[in-house]
Amino acid sequence: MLGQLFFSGKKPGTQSFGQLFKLYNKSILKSDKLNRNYSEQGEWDKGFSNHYTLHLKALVDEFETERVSAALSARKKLIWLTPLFVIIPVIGWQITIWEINESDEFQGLGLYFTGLSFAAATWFIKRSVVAYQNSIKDQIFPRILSFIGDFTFSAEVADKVKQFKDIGLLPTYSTETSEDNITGEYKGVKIELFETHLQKWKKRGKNSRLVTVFNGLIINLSMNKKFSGKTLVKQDKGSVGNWFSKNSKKLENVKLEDPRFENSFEVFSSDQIEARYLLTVSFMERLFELAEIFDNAEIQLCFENNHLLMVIPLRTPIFEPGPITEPEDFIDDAQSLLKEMHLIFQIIEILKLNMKLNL
Amino acid sequence: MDPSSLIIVIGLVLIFALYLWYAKIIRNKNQVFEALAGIDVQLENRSNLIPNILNIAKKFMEHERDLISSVTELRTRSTADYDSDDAQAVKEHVELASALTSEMGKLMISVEAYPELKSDQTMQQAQLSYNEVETKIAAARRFYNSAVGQLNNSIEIFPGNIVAKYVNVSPMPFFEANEGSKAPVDASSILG
Repeated sequence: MLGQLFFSGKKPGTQSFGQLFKLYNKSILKSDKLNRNYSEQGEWDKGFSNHYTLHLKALVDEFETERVSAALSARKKLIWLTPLFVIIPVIGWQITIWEINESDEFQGLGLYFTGLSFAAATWFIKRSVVAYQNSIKDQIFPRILSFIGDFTFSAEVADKVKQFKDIGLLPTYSTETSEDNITGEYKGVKIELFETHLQKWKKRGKNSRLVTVFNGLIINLSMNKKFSGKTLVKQDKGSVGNWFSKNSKKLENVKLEDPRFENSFEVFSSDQIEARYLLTVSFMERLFELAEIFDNAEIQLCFENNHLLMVIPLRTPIFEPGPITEPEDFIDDAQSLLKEMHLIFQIIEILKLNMKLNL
Repeated sequence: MDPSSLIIVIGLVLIFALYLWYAKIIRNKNQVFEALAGIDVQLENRSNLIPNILNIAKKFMEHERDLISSVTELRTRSTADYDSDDAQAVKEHVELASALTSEMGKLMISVEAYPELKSDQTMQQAQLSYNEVETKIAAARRFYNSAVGQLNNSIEIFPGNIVAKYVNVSPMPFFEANEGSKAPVDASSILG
């Protein structure tokens, strides 16, 4: 547990430590940059300005007041605790020197003390911020999603990854932390997506520690029609790497005509024709667009039975409200959420996942 | 190592290299057969759909009798047996399949001129199924062409050309899409 707290990588939903120090700036408490009008950007948010006016605009002032109050509370705590940020490393250093001189075995107690103290202080400062951000997730995200249909949003989820561990896209892991689960249906295709952070115990010398093996988004589409084979779209890792990532003897390498796609991805399938049926030129284009939206993420896919699973590694969490240091008008949240959902809908359209033609 | 041993070693290496090339040619040839079988499965699916489409179309398309009989004739010819080992027979088979795609494309476009037919529920479903099977034919064609490309490279590049002559493997024809099959019917305009 100690190791997990101190060494764990950044899990989805956490904000950077540097963000905390912006709270010193008093201007973060101003609400003068608020924009209460949504201007539509494209096909993906067509009609949303009306939805914004009807369902979100009235909440902007209420949530901005909450934001300012949460930011003020966090700022006060930060200022009061500032001396600790000097004292903690000094004590940590003293413990380290004592350990080196007095103890037979160096265990890094000073480092643990410093890390744990900073973590506790940060947790205490950010308590009000986290509560505010959770209230946005609970109350605002479902209102944004209601624009695209009957979708539910749940910030808390557990044990979601287990069902996908044998598919061959996710690494083996020891612990899972999942959150921000969106479920719903588009043209009869069930959509489920959530963010997850997977960690694995790794031994180093006498100690074990948890290291991050995957951090990102998992999208699972379930439909009426069933794929006859299994098709994996993985990142190209060079000839040797690809051979190891094939994962199963039943899968054959699929060579596609698009050189750009071939450079980025490696396709394995148990059905050469179905793989080509699925990976059309328009699908490849949408895949690149999707990767671009997620900061050129290395997307991987699996088509099997009646599921399309997409695994998207992320550098930063996506289903997070804007920073506490900036006025909240829900516009950025809505834009990113709608753009991502629109691309998922396009994939459903291109692959005609909604049609069951019995061929 | 004395010269005779060296010659034997070089000879063995050469025989092994030729065997590897031979194995590659046979593997590629089998993959072409597999791909061709994949095309035939989809062509058969299409063949099974066509009579249904023609039956519905006949009721409304009085002025398209020539087109309908051309489709019927091509369908009959394209379902006839052929020797998949014979490159010329395969060429004729895929050309017939292409011609049928082209004629069916014309028929689907003609449907646009018959509003009653266009709005017929059975016709709409048949057209959706037809478009789906055409997409699958396109996928099967991509696999076939990829397999043919590999086979043809392996038997046209030295020493493949010598090995191919010895084992009697000849280049296979590509399955080229004609203009009609490149532009599938837009189902949304029919449903719209």
